[in-house]
Amino acid sequence: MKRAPAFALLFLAGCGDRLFAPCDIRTARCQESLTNGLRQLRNESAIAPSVMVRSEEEVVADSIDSTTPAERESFARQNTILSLLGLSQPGLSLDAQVQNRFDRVAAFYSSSTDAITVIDRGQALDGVGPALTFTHELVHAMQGAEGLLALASQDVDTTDEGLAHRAITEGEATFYEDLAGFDLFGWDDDEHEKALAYYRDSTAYYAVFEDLLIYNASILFPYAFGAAYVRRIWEQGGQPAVVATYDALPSTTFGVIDGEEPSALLGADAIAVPTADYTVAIADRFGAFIVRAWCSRQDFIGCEDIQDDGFTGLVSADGTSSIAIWRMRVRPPNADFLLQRARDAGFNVSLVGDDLIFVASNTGSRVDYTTLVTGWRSNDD
Amino acid sequence: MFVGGRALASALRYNGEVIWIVACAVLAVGEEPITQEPIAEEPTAEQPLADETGAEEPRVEEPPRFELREMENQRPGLRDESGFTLTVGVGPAFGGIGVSLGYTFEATQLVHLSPYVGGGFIGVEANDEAELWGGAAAGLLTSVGRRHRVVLDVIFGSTAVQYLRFHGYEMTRRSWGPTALIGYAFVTKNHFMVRGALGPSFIALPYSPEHDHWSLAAQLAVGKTF
Repeated sequence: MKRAPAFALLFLAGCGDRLFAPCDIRTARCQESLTNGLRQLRNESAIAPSVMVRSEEEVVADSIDSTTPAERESFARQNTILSLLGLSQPGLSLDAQVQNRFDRVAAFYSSSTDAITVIDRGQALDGVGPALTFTHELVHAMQGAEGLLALASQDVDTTDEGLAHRAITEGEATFYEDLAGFDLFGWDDDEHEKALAYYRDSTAYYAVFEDLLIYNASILFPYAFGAAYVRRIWEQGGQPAVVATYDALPSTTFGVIDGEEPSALLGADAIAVPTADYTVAIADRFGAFIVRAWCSRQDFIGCEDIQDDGFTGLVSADGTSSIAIWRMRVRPPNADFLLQRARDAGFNVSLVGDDLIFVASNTGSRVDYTTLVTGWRSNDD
Repeated sequence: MFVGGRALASALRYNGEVIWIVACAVLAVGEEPITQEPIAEEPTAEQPLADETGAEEPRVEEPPRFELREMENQRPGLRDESGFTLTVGVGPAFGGIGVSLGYTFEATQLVHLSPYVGGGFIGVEANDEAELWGGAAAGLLTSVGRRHRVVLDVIFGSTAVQYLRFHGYEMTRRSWGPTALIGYAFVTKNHFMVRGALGPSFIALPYSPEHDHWSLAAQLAVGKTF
């Protein structure tokens, strides 16, 4: 008789107290349960977001309906330029891009409506996956309640900066989703760091094969690289340190990937200033994730040595000519090496100092950028 | 099949124990009946004793039953099987593939109990890398029968390797729990045992609410009691 309790204790020793359990996320009880579990992991933010379960068709239709003709025209013009250097596919419409984006989204949180939308694709909503997805969105709801989402979305000047900021918001949400996952599976998180390293590496690897890299970077980079970045901060100072990061957000993906901001920034040499025959349609920095994935896609070697980039998209006054100028600062002495590889691959590329300048146009002829550019400026201007 | 089996057994008997086991396995397939010497019958009412008939027939001295048993036990394959048992095999009793050491008690002439501990290793592959993991187990093997036996093996040990794919990364861990196997064993006259068993295995530790707890376990083993 005495052995029975001892055996029961042995049996239950591995159970422990679980913070999370799979449940039907459409029910208020489940939502409350997951919220309470998250509060014990993160903090005591009081949140009560509304929850909607909608079909993908509805969500896509809403998003498309909210776009204006001017936005569609601008998207088409910019996409033409981006396609010149293989960052997108020519002819992609804004509608198609919206569809492409939601194809990979399971749920999202809207801070403007304080609502979590779960996309219903006919899957069960009472399993582990939906519970973790919902927990991820609950973190965003907490960020919204604490004003952190607003901090992350202000003063975003470039694609690179936007990705870096999203790496914190999505990274934090992914990090806590992971902790919830370990709790839910009854698994120690001692291999979490390895799992995140694998996640980063595999994401960087698959990004190379993305046909719509410039758009899909936003649904690849922030999660994989952000979770590892936030975990490092969390290990040093817990959730207060993570919250403090929002006051000093990384400004580049170079900083998120490499752990420190690049020392050799293009600065005032980032964006081309064209002659009067052209107007600037795109003035951007794409950052480490995009530029290195693009570089690897061309089968170049030494892509990790690219330290900064500035992308200028030009459109002629009559709208018939589009030109892409992509300037990349390369850590010496590898610029010469990359230049040779790029030329061998058939790119129209020049070397100015330690910078490579790629030029592509839709006119069918090689363009000497010096005939188009009167000077350079910072992408912060 | 049956005659061939016997011929094979006879021919190879002198070549060593291992081959003897093979020969026995052939016999098992052939379903050779165990040959036992007849035991002298007890006198019954239908067989009146000599002194009841009055005839002066010489009385046959019948040995007492306990002496008969001793004689039986001295026959090859039926003598006392108690002793240390060393077994090699594959299955939960070995933590994968390995060995076990136990002590076999002869509870009755037909029932043998053998508590044991086992250890071994198992190959684990995760993230395109393979490695060997050690495993351990303790159990109680109960066998019922003479040469053809039913075996019940109750084990607590490393039952399985659990996988959890996290962001594409495969995490692995040993799981522990009880296993109950039932199967068949063949025991030679020299106390070699070949056995196979199947049964359910329960993953108890570490407890994972989202993993399957039950699995089907199988075991193959060859052992000898010394």
